Amino acid sequence: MIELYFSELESKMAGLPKPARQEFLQELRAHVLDRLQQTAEPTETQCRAVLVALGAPEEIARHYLIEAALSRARRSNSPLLLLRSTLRWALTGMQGFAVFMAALVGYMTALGFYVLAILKPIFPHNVGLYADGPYAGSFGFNFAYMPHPHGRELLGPYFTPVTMFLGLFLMQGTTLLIRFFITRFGKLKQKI
Amino acid sequence: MVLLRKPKPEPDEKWEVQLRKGCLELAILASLWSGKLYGLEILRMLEESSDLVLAEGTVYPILGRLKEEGLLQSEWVEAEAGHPRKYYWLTPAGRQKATMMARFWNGFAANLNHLLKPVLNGKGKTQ
Repeated sequence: MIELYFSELESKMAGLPKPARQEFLQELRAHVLDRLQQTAEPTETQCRAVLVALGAPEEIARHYLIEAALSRARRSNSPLLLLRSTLRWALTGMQGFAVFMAALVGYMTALGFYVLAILKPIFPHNVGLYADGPYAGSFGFNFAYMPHPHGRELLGPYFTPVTMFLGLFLMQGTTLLIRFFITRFGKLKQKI
Repeated sequence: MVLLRKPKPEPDEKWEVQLRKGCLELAILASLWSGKLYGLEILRMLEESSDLVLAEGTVYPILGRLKEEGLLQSEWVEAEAGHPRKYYWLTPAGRQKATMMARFWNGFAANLNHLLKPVLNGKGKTQ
């Protein structure tokens, strides 16, 4: 009966990562064994009573899944998950909309830097940070007319690492900012 | 005959369930205040001092989350019982959180009790 209970519980908890699931099951198993050890020779009725007090497998599994979803959203670093949640927030008012726009601009600029970092080795003469000429003072990518855009390129071989770093920095910064807003205004807690 | 039966008064079960759920986290943190305990010991403490727990199995997912949030630490310990048990204890952050929650609860309960006094006394009823 106990094995049946645990195999049902395990199948209902299939949504959780395996190591976490195994540990939860081991803990619940210890609980059942401890409860039964209070009586020397457990009968079927006693086993049933212990399992009933523990709760139905689907009920316990549901609790584990809810708790896991909650902590995942709170700790999440995934831009996609955060963008999706701020989008939902954006639909509820100006405050959410502002945070969503900030997130969008932050992530898109970071993405722009990544693209430049990848393009530099492929088109070394068309991508760079230009000191003068038509693209002075800006990160530029010129592909259309001239094989070599006017102006001096400042970063040279450092271009890829620098843009990579800027991209990462912006991405991390945006993520931290959004998480700050989420915890500060707490609007999302019920919604995620 | 069935039609004549009065409808049973519905207990406000839902409200009680919500209240219990809301307090369970505080109760778990409080039970660990003075040392390491494993799941069943925490449950026994909760049973002694409150009727917070409905299904025993629901305490374990909460323990898991509190650990995930850095409020608790845990460790498997071999016991004479023949199987290991998972012990939990409060981290400094958990201690801080428990203190904060307890203070809030105290003020909240005092105010509400004050408000409830006439309700419970049944006095001062106006016609």
